[in-house]
Amino acid sequence: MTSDDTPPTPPSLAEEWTETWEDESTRDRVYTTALQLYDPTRVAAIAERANVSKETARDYLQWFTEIGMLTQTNEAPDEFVRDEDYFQWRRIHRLGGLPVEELEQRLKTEIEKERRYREKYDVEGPDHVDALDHADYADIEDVWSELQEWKTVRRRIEELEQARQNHDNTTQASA
Amino acid sequence: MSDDTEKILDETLLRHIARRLGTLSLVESVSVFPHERPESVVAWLDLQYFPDTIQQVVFEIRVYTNGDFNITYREERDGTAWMCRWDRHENPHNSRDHFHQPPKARTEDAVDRDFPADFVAVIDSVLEHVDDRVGEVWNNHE
Repeated sequence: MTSDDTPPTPPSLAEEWTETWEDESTRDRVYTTALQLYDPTRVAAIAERANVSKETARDYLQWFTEIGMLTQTNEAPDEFVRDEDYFQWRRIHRLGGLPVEELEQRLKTEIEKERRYREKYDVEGPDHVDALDHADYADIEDVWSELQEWKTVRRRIEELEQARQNHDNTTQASA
Repeated sequence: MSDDTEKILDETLLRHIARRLGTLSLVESVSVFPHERPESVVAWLDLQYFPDTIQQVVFEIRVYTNGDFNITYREERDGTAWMCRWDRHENPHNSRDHFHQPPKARTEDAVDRDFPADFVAVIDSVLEHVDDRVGEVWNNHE
């Protein structure tokens, strides 16, 4: 047992984090960078972030484009961006693995949250809220963060609903 | 830059980050979108590396699909929190990249910063800061 007087020497978080990064395969490094291509980005910049050659980066980026995860937005210079539809499809697919009772339970919880937000802000949706009406300057970030949560709740409701419908269709098809 | 209306939670990147955070020795457990923090990855640091007076050390991460993020580090002791926060988002008080200084991380405690473009590198610089903080709590304790 250690006491307060002899603290265990803590391992460095930053060093270990860097090691986990360095231990990753080339493919995983390009993948992690590709996940963050929220704006069209040139291959050279992607290669630098992933610490791989441009040729290697281009090969993987073309593969990720083929499976639909990325879209190529320009050629010479090659630019790539995330395809949000793919990520949405993946989230719905993941939800599809849950039993229908679980989907319904989650849907109920999220709908209840959405109702509470609507009551609290007294508007139809988060885009109709002026954060300054609800907070003074010091708290405004809390309101923003809550509006962001509201948007996420709405998105989750849509996706849960989609997953539930897919479930129904599958059940009917196999019946 | 992406429109703010497209700012939605990046669940894929968060799950990916969570998996890697979970491999660090100082991290005791990681929770992805827990009930009480449904939008965040929450990591609890191992208390054996902190003085007995500290009851909880939590690290909370959110990332959005327009590149925005916020990362909070919070220590709890006897009902008081010591916290700081790294943010990237448009706002009227500071540059898009900014840091809310401890111990309260209020809006008025924010200072401008310039974080790396890549989120893995952002986490790296944040963890360096936490490493320094772990040393500091022991120094303050003695």
